[in-house]
Amino acid sequence: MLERPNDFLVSSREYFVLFAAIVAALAILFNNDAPQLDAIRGYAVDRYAAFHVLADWKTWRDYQPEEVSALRQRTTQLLLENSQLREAYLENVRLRRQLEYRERAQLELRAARVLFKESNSTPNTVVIDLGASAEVKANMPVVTPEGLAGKIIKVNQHTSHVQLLLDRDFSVSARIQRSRVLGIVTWMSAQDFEMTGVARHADVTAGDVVVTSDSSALFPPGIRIGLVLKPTVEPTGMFRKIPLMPAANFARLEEVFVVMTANRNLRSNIAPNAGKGE
Amino acid sequence: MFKRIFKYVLMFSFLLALQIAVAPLLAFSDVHPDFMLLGVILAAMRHGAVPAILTGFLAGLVQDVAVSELYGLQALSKAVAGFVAGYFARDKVKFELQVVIGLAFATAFAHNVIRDTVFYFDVGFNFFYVLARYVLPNSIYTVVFVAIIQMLWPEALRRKASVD
Repeated sequence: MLERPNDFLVSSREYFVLFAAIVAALAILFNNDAPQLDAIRGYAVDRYAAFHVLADWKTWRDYQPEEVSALRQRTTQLLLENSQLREAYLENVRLRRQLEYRERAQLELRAARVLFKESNSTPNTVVIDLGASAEVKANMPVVTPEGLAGKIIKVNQHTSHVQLLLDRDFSVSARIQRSRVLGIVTWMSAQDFEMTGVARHADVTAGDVVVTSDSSALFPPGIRIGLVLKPTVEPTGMFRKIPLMPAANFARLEEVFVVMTANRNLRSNIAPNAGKGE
Repeated sequence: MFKRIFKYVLMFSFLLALQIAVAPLLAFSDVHPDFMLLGVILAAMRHGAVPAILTGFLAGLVQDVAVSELYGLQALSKAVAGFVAGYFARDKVKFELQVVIGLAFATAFAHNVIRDTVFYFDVGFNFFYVLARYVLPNSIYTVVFVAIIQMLWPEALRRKASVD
């Protein structure tokens, strides 16, 4: 029995010194931006994700996860097909006029659970429970039943990081579905999006649906992005200010779908790092 | 106190010069001795765990800045090495050759497990491959130099009285 608390500190001082040295060294080490540490972080996220799933077992206890996941996947597939069919119909009308036809890509989706949001991260990302082991690759689009959610930016063995549409560095080529006006959708602040680069006299009205365009290098055309709120024109501006309401509900992002099908029209023809920032 | 610190600064400067200039010449297929680790083992055997941890941390930081690609990795592994060496060297005043070799091997092994596991983490090597290919050969190579010091200059590895 040690007589004074101070004796404990003195007799254990080598452990305290070792602890302090390890903490200091780890703090320095994890400030590096080296591939080894990226791999360690990815490994740690994979392990944490596995623990997270185990800790959340109560949520999964009362229902059949495979069945629910399959149904959600089917619902999303149908909703996306519906959106694409509408897109295809409008396109068909237009193409018929021009006597041209182009094959539409069929989307293959894979359901993923959103494990957690990276709260202090820039860019604005979430981690999902699909990784390289499920053949997920960087730049694959991520959708919800309502519409586009983001894209994969980093793949670990069993998890992936999804850059959300809410990120300031995320932008996507888009069209007004009705009038085929082309523009770029970018995040402005909080839940506000804008479609930029649209001329002031372009045909855009409130309620118009905005979808991904066929000139996107990463995203299949026809995926819903959002709805036009109230377009305005600055008195001296050349462009219209087109605020959007996003289709996907980012406040309740629980399950998403990774689009596994490549955009056959464009993706096979571009360099691996093309489309950064889109 | 300051005289001792000055001596250690001089010694680690010399060991760092050896590490930069001589260790690459002695290397074969990515296996090389760690001269800075010799200094940490020496500090542990002469002065105990706490000075060895601090010495290992600071010497590792210097080595990180001078030669390493990952700042903090040498500091981490050498601080742990200082603890291991100090732990096994405690309560001993004089060291037999076998004891020195065993202590040096345990220290070098702990050091190299941390350093090589982190360093080769992104390559995707199996842990046991890293152990067999890098950790054990590097440890044995460093122990050879500790044994040479013990045989040529046994006083260097003798505990200083009333310290730590």
